[in-house]
Amino acid sequence: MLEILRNIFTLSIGAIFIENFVLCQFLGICPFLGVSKKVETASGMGFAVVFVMTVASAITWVVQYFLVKFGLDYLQTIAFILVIAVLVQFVEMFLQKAIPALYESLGIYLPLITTNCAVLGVAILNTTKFTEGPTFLYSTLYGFMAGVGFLVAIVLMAGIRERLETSDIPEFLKGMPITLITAGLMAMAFMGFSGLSF
Amino acid sequence: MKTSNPVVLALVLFLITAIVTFALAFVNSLTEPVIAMNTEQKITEAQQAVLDADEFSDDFDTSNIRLSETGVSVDALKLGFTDGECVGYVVTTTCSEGYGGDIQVMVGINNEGGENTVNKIEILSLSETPGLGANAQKDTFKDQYGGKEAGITVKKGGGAAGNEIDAISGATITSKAVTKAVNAALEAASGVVVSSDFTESVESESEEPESTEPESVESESAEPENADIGDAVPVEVGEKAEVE
Amino acid sequence: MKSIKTILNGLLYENPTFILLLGMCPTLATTTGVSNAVGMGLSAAAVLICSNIVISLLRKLIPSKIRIAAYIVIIAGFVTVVQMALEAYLPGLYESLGLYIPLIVVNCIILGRAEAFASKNSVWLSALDGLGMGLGFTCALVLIALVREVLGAGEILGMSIFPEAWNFQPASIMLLAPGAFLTLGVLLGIINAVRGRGGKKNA
Repeated sequence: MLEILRNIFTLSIGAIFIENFVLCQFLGICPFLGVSKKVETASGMGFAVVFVMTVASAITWVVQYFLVKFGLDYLQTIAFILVIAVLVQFVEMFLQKAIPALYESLGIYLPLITTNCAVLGVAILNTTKFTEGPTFLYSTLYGFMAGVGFLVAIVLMAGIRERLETSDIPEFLKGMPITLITAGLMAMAFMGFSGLSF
Repeated sequence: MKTSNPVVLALVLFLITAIVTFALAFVNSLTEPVIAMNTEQKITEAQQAVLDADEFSDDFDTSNIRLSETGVSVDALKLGFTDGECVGYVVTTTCSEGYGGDIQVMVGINNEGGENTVNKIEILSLSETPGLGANAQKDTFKDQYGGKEAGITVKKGGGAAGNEIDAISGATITSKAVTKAVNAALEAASGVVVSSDFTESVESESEEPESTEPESVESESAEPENADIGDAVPVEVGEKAEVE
Repeated sequence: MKSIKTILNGLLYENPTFILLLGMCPTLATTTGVSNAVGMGLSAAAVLICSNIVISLLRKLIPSKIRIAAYIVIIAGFVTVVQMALEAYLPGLYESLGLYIPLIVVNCIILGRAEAFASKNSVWLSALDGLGMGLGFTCALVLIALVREVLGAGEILGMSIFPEAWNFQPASIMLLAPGAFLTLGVLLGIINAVRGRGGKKNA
């Protein structure tokens, strides 16, 4: 029991800080760079991604169970991405009815969550990372925490970029270059967590 | 095709998926045997490289082996024979504490005069950072293990002596994981009882695996890179990240 | 000639990495060494060319409403084939690229070109577009990897390029996460400066 609790704690802190999906594992970079101009939209996107990653982790765990059972491991990629595509479709329809304001502000970026490598990435990572114990719990939790890590990174970036708007940056660095350099510095900061263990 | 009929839509999508699935099943049938053959061949070649023996026994049942550490497991164990005499063991272990995930090591162990010492190691599977942890594959690193006994420790900063090995600069986590795998192999070999007709049994050690001290469970990352910056001076941009 | 123009487009004018800014995840992750970069670039190119061809072939048959889902299935199929082929015939590359091989499925370059080009053009041109984009992607990856490998390890393709006497001490950080972001950011800045325009506000 204690072992399980310890694992849960480790993987949570791990997903958010030590191996942050965006700043350490390079997953979810496109929306991270694309939707981080304003804190509001960034957090909206972040929350949507948390939800999708959590539910996707849960469903793909079940799918993986059956794939392994029937020896169809090679169908993993195609099965997972289909699950994610359908899931995002449902989230889209739900948001359009329930929170139209958020739906509008996310615009094209909402269906793009399907191609967010963080979602497919966490689904695949779950299958290799957790082999003993309550793997369903670990997988779903890891999906949730990884999403939170993404949320933290994207909101931090948005906060910084809002400030950069009013700074005097050389023309050729404006836009993507300065954003990437900022991300590099953030990644460096997050490296400070890498010695952390329990 | 301009249609909004949901039945047609679903049907077309299903058809495409079905065709793709069958194509994949076909390709799988072609590549699966090749992959299996590659794995087997790699193991046979590695065996010969780590232990100088004429023949090798079959795999023994390793499910009863209990190690004293967690995060490492025994995959396979064999005896090596020369002229009918058992000269040592080939033990394959996997440590899950590499920076980029599992590291699988095959250890050739000499059993001269009852003492188990490492002959040579081969790293079968490694997903560490190129330029850092991946350098574990270099002979200069692997050869250090020759002649060592159980309980090898890792020394940072050079100058390893006795039963120590030098860590790869900037890749302590990888170095420790490999060492853990080698130590586990030595431990498994020491629990082996050889009966007179070489149909041996593997004695299960009586201790239960304890959870290890946090010291040896350093944070893993699924990203194959190394950063032992936790115990170094702060790094500024442009400065070399020499980690000690 | 239209064919040459199509290839050059992917290589230079609309280079997926430096101009279109697509496929960032593998760009940052697999450029730790030139050999990884080449491996990833060519694998993605293979998938891109094949999927462009098939999607162009079927462009009149796939109903518009489900086209994205259909494209994804076809792309996923080719990615799985590449996955299995690498595991069988190039296991070293398979291990070092790891998670990023299946992630080719969600590489925006491939889906992006399927939607923007292959669904509207002939099979021949679509194949060439795939070739051009694939080569453009590979070259971009190699360029970034060169910077990172030389500065981060003093090597190219695993071989040391600086003479012993120089006692070159590499900056390991270039091989880690920050190095990737910084290299790409600086390269993009240089490209912007060379093109004589300020950075696009679309970022």
